[in-house]
Amino acid sequence: MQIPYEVTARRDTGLYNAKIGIWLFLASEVMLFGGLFSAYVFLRIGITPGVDNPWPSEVQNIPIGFVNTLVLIASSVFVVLAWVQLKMRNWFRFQLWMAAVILCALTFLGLKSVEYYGKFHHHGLKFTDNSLAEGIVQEVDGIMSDKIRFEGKSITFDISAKNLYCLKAVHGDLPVFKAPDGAEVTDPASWAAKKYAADVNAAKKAYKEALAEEKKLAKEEGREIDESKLPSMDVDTVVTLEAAEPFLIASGERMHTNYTDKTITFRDGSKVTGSLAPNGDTVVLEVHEIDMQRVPLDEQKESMIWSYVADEGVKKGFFDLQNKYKQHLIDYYGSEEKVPLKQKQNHRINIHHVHAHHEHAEHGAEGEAAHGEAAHHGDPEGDGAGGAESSYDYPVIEVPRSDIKFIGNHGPRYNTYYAIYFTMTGLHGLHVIGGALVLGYFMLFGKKLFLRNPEHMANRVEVGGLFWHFVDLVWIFLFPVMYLF
Amino acid sequence: MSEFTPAESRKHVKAYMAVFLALIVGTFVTVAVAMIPWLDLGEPGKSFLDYSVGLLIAIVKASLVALIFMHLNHEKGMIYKIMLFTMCFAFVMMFLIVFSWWNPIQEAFTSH
Repeated sequence: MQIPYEVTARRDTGLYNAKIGIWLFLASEVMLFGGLFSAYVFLRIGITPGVDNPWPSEVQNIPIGFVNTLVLIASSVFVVLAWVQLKMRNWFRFQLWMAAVILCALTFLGLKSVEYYGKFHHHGLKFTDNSLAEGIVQEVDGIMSDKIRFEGKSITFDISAKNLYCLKAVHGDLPVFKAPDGAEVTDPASWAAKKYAADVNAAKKAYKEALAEEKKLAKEEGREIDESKLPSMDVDTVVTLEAAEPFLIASGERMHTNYTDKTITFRDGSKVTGSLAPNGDTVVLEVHEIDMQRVPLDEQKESMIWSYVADEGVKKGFFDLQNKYKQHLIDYYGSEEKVPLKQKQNHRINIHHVHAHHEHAEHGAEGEAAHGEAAHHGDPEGDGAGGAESSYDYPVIEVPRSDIKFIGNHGPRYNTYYAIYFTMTGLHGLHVIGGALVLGYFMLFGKKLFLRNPEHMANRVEVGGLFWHFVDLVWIFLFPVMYLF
Repeated sequence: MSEFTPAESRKHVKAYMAVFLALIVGTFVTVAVAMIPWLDLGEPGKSFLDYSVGLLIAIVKASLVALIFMHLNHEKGMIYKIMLFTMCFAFVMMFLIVFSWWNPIQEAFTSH
């Protein structure tokens, strides 16, 4: 069937149909991203800076965002150049420009992956006094130390349940367990399913037999059936399996509800009994940034973070930078009283700026904090990803859970900012993938149509290109609002 | 629009290159305002003035992409009607959040 107005314009609209189609689609996209930008504004103005949860400033890797912006802009130009080549009826050159577009899309997605990786491997550890250390969680005996390490001896669980957390949390191979009847159990999940089915059937059978017996007796005695004489069909589902040898549990924050020295209880109610591994609830963190924005100014020097980051040089460097920034604020506002509270409390310092400041100071040079930006200079998260092999001497701290209010990676659940950041950049990334697939299809499989009807092919590329420009347009706003300001 | 003449093509490419350059310059200026201390406008750190300049540049860049790359500078009336309608709705949507100020969620951001 011939679809009308693929190439020629309709007389009433003056446009070929696909163009109307894509603009209607882009209209819906404007509403989609508009809604998210609106949500962004709402979330951002809802934050009370310096009091509860300050909007993170400069936590992004700006060079990555910057390069990605240039890459997307370049790809937008390449798309229109490819379209011009089709209009000139030059298939080969069209393919070349389109290949450049796809290369740009892949570069963008690659850099985005690096950025996301950095975030998922960068943790924030909030102490009970609200001071915050950020950096890389270290492994202890091959297990990430933000997990509880526990030596299990037995598991207690409900055999009617599925996907048992106590089994998921086992680190390494499952041990062999011993059932209450003495049988060996190598796969507790299927053993439990079988046992549950058998127990339920046995209970049903016992009930049926008792019911038949009761019916018979009731008939003989000429009375109603007495239900109290029938056995219950309830099955005792909670069982405990002893392990033949101790096994290791590594339980993340979202796996267990609580733990003691002897037991760890998981969210599904299953339990492991044994003993907490030595320092099994201690988090080992390589500290890259120190954030004091939630600690009152006059309590910052006595903050509990300094009992862990014991390096006096780091502490001195932190407060030297803070004082420099304070002086900068006083110079700007005229006197200390006039400095707004939110400006005073803005203290998030990257350890390598502290080191850099030391080096400047030793050489008698003016520290980089003098301009007032460095005192709340953030970490590029990518730096976090490669932090372990960095040349900076980052302090490594070991913190017991009793001193930790919260620990988590910089994923969507870390705070409001990261939630909206991942939502918007993630959705944008999906658009990049979609656009690249369509344009890549035109590049690889469009020649037949080009030979048959080159104007039809040019129209297709124009429509695909319009979508691609829209994706670029969204990024033009995302870059400043998410990365820069 | 059917086949381009070489002259038409040169005209198009020239416009695209000019926009390309403008977008690159715009990006550099935005980053400079955000990162270079002596370009820190208004109060120290990020201020209303910084946001405004950043957004203004973004709006100019987006307009260039829409007008030149997306050919909105010489489109048919139907497209303008669709987009005008959309922009009105999008603009109103940006302000729907104002209602939330009348009924705020208490302590929504203090979970950790």
